[in-house]
Amino acid sequence: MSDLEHLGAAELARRYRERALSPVEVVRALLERIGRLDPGLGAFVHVAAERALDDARHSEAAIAAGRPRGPLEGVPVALKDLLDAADMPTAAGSRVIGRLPERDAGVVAKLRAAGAVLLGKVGMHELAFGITGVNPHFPPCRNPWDRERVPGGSSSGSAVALAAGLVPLAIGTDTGGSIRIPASACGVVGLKPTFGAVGRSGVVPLSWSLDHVGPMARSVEDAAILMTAIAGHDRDDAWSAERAHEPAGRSIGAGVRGLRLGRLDAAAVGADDQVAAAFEESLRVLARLGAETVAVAAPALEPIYTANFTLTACEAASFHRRRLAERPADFGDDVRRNLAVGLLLPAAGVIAARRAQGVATAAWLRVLDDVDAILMPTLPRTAFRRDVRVSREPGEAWNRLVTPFNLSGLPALTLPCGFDRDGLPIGLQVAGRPFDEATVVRVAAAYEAATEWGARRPPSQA
Amino acid sequence: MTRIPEPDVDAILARLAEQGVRLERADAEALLPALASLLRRLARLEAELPDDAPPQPGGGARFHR
Repeated sequence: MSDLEHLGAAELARRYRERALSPVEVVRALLERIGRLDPGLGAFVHVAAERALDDARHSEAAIAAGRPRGPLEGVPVALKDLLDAADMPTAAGSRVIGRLPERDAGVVAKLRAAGAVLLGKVGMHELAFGITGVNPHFPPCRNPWDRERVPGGSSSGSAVALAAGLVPLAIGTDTGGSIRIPASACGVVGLKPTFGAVGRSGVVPLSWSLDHVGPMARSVEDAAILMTAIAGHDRDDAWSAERAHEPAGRSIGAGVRGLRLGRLDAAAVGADDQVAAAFEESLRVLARLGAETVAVAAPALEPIYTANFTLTACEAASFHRRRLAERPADFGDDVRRNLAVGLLLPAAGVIAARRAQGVATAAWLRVLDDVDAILMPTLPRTAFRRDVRVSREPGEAWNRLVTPFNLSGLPALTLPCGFDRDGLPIGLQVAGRPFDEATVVRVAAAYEAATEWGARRPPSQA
Repeated sequence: MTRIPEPDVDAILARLAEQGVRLERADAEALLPALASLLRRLARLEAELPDDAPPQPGGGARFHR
C-alpha cells in the first residue's frame, strides 16, 4: 500500500470493513514511518509502540468478529502531551509537569471506547503557553513544508504528525488559537469546538475558562468523525455542557446553496497580500457553490486579544505559581516571563477582561444572528522562520484572528485554502453559532470538496 | 483601574517576591515592556467598556447555564 500513510480515518474504516486492510498492518506501517521520519520532524515525544500494536490486534479481532466498538475501531490517534492516558507519561511539553497518570482523560476514555488505537504523545509549546511550537526542553519540532519555519503552536506535534503522514488523527487543545494556528501553518484541518462541547478532565490546564480540546485531521470529514467521538458531557469538568450532541458531520454533503455566509475584509483584519488573495478566491469558490456571501464587520479585535491574553496569563499563573516559585529555572524564558506577567496584573484589570469577554461574545452572536457562519483567514500571514524572535509581532498577529473564538467560545475550524509563493499553507477559518459545529463542518466540507488544497503533500517525504 | 503606575524592574521583583516568586533581574527587565504595554491596553479596554457591561456570566460557561 504505497499511500497508506495518507489514508484518513473514514477511508481506513471503510477498508477495514472490506477486509482490504488491517489495523495491525496500518499501525506497523505508521510506527515504521515514525521511526524513519520523526527524528527529523520532532512531532512525537512518546511512542507507545507495544501497546498500540496490542490494541491494533484487539481491533482486528473486533472487526473480524463483526463487532467494532465504534467508528474509530483500529484508527490510530496521537494525543497532545497534556492529555492524560493511563499508560503514557504526561509532561505538557515541560520540565515541571511529570506524571504517569492512573486514569485516562475524559477525551481519551471516549477515544478508547470508540476503538481508537493511541499511537503516542505529540509535542507542544511548553505548557501550551505559546504559539510557535518552539520548545527549549525538547528536540526541535519542524514544519514539514519548510523545516526552517515554525510549525505553529501550541499543538505543534499534532499538526506536524498529520501533515507528515505519521498519523491520521490527532487531538489538540486551543486557548488562544492553539489548534487552528498549527493546523493552518502546517496545512491540515483543526476544529476548536464550542466551549463546553468536549470535556477537559485529565487535561493539564492553561486557562480553565478558555481551554478547548478538539480534533485535528487531514480532512474535514475526519475532523468531524473525531469530533463526534470525543464530544459529550464530562462529569469531571465543571464547565462541560450537559446536552445532547448532534454528529458534527451530519450535514456533510449538503453543500452551501442557501446558506448566508458572513465574510470579513481580509485586508482590514491585517492579512498580507497573499493570504488576502487566497481568502478572496475561497469566497469566490463558495459563491460559485451557491452560498450567499455578505460583508460583516468584525467586533474590535485588539480588546479581544488583550482580554484573552490577560485571562490566560492570570489563570495560568494561578495554576503554576507554586512551581514557578520553587523551580523558576525549569521554565523556558518566554513561559516564565508570561507567567510572571499573569502575577502582576491588577484584579480590576482582570475583571475588565472578563467584562470585555461578555461584550465580545454578545457582539459575535449578533453577527451570527444574520448569517449562518463567518469566514475569515485563520492567520494573517504564513509560517515565519524559526529564528524570528516572537514578541508583539508576529506573535500577536497570529493570535489576532483566532482568539475571538476562544473568548466567545464559538466553534471555529481551519482548513487549507491555498499556498503562498514559498509553498507554505494558508488557512481559511469558518466560525459558527454555539454548538452548531455541523454547519461549520458543512461549509468547510463543501469548500474542501471543490478544491484540491488538502491533497497537497509536503516535500521530501520518502 | 483608573490609574496604573508604570511598572519598573524593582517594583516587579518586589511584587513577585510577595507572591513567593523570585526571578532574575534580567527576567524582570525582559518582561517589563510587555507588561507596560498590556497594562496600557487594559486601561484602554476598561475605558471603552459600556458602564453596564457585567463580567461574562458563569466565568467560562457561555451558552449552557
